[in-house]
Amino acid sequence: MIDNVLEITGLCKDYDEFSLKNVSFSLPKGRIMGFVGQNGAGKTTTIKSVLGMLRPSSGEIKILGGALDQVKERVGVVMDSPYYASEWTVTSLEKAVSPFYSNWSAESFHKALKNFSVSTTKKISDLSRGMKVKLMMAVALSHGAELLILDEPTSGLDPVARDELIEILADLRKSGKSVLFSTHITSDLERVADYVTFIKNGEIIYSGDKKTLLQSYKAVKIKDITEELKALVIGGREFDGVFEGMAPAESAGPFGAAAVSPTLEEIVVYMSREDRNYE
Amino acid sequence: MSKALTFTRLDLLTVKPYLTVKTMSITVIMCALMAFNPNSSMFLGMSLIFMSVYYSYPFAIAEKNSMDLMYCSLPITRKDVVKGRFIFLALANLLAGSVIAVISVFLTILRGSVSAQELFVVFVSFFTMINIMSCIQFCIYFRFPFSKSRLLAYLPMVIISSVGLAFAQLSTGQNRYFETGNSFETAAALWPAISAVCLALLAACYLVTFSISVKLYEKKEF
Repeated sequence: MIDNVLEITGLCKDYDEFSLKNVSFSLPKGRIMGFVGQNGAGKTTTIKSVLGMLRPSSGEIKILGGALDQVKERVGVVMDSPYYASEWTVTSLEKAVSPFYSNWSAESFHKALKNFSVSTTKKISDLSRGMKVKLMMAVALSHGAELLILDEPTSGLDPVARDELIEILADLRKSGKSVLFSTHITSDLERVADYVTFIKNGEIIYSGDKKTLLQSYKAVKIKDITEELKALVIGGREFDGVFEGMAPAESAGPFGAAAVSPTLEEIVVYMSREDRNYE
Repeated sequence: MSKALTFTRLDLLTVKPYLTVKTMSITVIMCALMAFNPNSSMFLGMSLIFMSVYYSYPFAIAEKNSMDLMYCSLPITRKDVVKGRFIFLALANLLAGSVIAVISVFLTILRGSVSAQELFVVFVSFFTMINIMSCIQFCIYFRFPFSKSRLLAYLPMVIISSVGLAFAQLSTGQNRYFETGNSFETAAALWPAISAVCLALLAACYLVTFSISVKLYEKKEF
């Protein structure tokens, strides 16, 4: 039995102005991992390397215990922008894609389309962005994928569509599927992610349990702060006369009631502002 | 092979919505204009060239819609993609070649302008040339983004045509190639040898350009 559905070890990819540096993390089976970081931090580069769209400079990637080419049927993919021929209808898309999968379920596909209210007769070019993402989700859910890799599926979606997608992901977890979900909209992950991997400037800053991450820090908002306390703060800044930032939970005692549980977004923002790794 | 054939089917479905009455009419009109030429060989050659424009459609549509990302997400290898697209090319060439050959035969019977042997040699020569040209173009499309390689991809056509014309000029002293087709009279007598050479050329061309395309596409990043 495989414990980790995805294992990335020492992944490097070099460009002139950016590089992925020794990216390593793993996704346990039946869990949802949020892959977070600023725009340009390396989320898409990592995901594209995992999916064989980019050629890594070095490193090892194991998906469902093997190499990508051996397990592609068991992997569902949703990218941030649609990649189907715009002149296809949803029906012609099914005709084109379904023969590649031995486990394709037309019933699941049409059920998903119905649930997502995607018209089968419309041309793909006539679908809204949200509908196109839902269409990619419908394809990913129709061939019995055990692992779903989603690259920024919620960016550009309205809050209702985002909420629906989060619900779908929660349902997938119930059925034992695993999801790697890249986003910079961290509020989407608050409800659904079990694990969080945080990437900054091509380096993994944190990868692990979401609860542990949230419990490891305290958000701090204080009007008058001493230099001594300031030194404890990560990513601190003055905003509207109030000093705000984040402190490691174990050293947040001196802040008293000014230190509260942070949101994932606060952690990402303050970590992005500070070159301090947490492991 | 089955995955490659499935990919060929995907390519056909990709191209299908673009084969509209409007686009097909342009080709038919162009070919029809060529049919007015008293020389059936001229119709045959030029029509094959017009048809070859369609072979690049899968690349153009794939680039427009970022479909290479989709190919990467499907349970196929990059070699399957290249194999499938070369099958598409061979099928398209065969289909276009067959239709145009039938019309040429019909025109020839109607006019009796060239002999069957001459027409056969012209067909085999042009068919081989178009296949070689499109195979080379495919290598270029698999290596470079389509939008940036279109001009480059037409270089083989220009080079092969120029070499052909220059050869005709040198051998006859004047460009009779497109005037009467009589320069093929001698060649027509050698039709079995020419057919064998063209067949060998075609096989070698497909094999070499396919291998090169696989290597180039394996390295490509999306």
